[in-house]
Amino acid sequence: MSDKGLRIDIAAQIGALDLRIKEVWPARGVTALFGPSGHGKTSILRQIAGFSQPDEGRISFETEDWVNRATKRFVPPHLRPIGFVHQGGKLLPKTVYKNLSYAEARSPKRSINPLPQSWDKGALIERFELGGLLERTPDQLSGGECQRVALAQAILSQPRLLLLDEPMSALDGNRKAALLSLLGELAAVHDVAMVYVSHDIGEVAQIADRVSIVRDGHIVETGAPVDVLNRHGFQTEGSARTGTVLAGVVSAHDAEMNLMSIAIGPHVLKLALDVNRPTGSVLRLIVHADNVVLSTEVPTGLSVRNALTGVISAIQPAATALAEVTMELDGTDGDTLVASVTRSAVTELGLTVGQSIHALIKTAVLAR
Amino acid sequence: MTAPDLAALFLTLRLAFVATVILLVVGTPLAWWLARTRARGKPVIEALVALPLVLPPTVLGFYLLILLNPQSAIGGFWLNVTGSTLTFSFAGLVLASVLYSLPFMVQPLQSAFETIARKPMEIAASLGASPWDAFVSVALSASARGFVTAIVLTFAHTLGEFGIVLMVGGNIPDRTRVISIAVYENVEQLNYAQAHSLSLILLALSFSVLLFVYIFNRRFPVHVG
Repeated sequence: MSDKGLRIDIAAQIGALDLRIKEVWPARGVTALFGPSGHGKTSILRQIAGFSQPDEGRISFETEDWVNRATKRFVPPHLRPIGFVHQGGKLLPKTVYKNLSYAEARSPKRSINPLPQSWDKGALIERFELGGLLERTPDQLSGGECQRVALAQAILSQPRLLLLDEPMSALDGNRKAALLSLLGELAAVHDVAMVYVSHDIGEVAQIADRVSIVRDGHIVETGAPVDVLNRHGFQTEGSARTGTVLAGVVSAHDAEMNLMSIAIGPHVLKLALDVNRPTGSVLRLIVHADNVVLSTEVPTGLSVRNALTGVISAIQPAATALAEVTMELDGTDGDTLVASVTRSAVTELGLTVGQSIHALIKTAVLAR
Repeated sequence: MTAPDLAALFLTLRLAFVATVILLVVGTPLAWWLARTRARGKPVIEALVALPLVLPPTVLGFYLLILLNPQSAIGGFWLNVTGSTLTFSFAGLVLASVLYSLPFMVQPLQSAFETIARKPMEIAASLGASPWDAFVSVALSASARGFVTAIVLTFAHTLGEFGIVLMVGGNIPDRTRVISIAVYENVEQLNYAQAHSLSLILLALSFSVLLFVYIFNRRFPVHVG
């Protein structure tokens, strides 16, 4: 079967939102829809699920048309091999156990390649830590607990395409990281495609294979996560805090110092050891611009260990006392790093475009 | 109690039972449609369903009499097929009762269905449940209370109808002479003792079904969410 992907070519007026999407995504891996709230991310998911119909156009998955207004074709949601996690982890008004059984009971008729036993009900109850919640009803669960149940339920239904609407918004950092890598495994090993809606740049940076930026009912750009997030991500996030996403490879573990080395081209950053990231694994880091210090000379006598070298490619003064300095990292394929420094520092150090510069990174966070 | 009065009691119970069963079959899909639809014609249908609440039963009965008499299309068709008339028959009473009690079935069901959010139905669909499967496995269990209320109210309301029966059914023993007619007749003939016992039965019956509804609604609050 040739991979024709998930093709969307639709127009729909939804309240004030004028949704116009023309996009082809591969039917494998994780596609992240990233952008501010109210710009149509959820509406796109609902169109793919078939909960809403477009005014005109067509959506197809692999070789099957799911909706085609021209031929009046419409495959109802229950006949599409999808899983859907609503925002806030909405569940059926039944106990957690019954919610899971409901999905399990209806899964056989839709799965061509069933997931292995390590993804069955018992295993998922363990992996999502639901053992203590089984007899509770949704109104007795916290937001994060609802989201864990909803994710497990959606996976149990054996979908080919998982549609996830802010599925981890109420989860804490550690759980989020664990569940994101679990979803990553599902996508990479078991070939479950996902469309992942989020406005959290960390989640997107960790899990996405490609990112589409959604604004005003349109997809502004689709591309590799590092490129797209660096171009749009930090403005889209709406935070005053700009930064950079860097892709790296774990090159060494140092158990004694509890550190691991991450290679970014010829540069090496040292971060707190994460045993779940073996040597050789690819990861993405987020470096916020206000965690970067610039130096015109080789820095000595500092406690900061993470120093990178590069050439200044742009200096953008902000309206405040700050300026954004973008540097291209030496020896990389155009990887950039953004530093936020005071405008007076730019003047006093005489920073100019084309100048060699040292950047010290105080903290970088693993994308999660 | 006299034999004719006992017959009237059983006829009334039979009528209420048959009408309730038919209304359950007809009213459930209608209530589901009203709860879900965004069609423009919805208020018109809602008003039609609610009409028996405000229309004098004699008016409804009068129109039914015209509609069902053997000279009319419907009445004539029924006569051809079954060999009996719709007016002044049990079948005619059932039809009249179904129309008369329609709002008592549809309205509680509609509000029960409306409290079932769209999302649980969407979740069920995304898990592979067909619309019928989702209706049975999610909507029905979440609206059990609405069903009990609707069934009991429909039954109790049909027990007490009078005007419409008088118009469409008349007063034929074993066929159309229901309790309310029997009470009326007994009073007309100054048989107060018999009127008393029948009235008391109807009063006790109505009170106990209503009591049951209210106790049930308190005991089994429905979780929706």
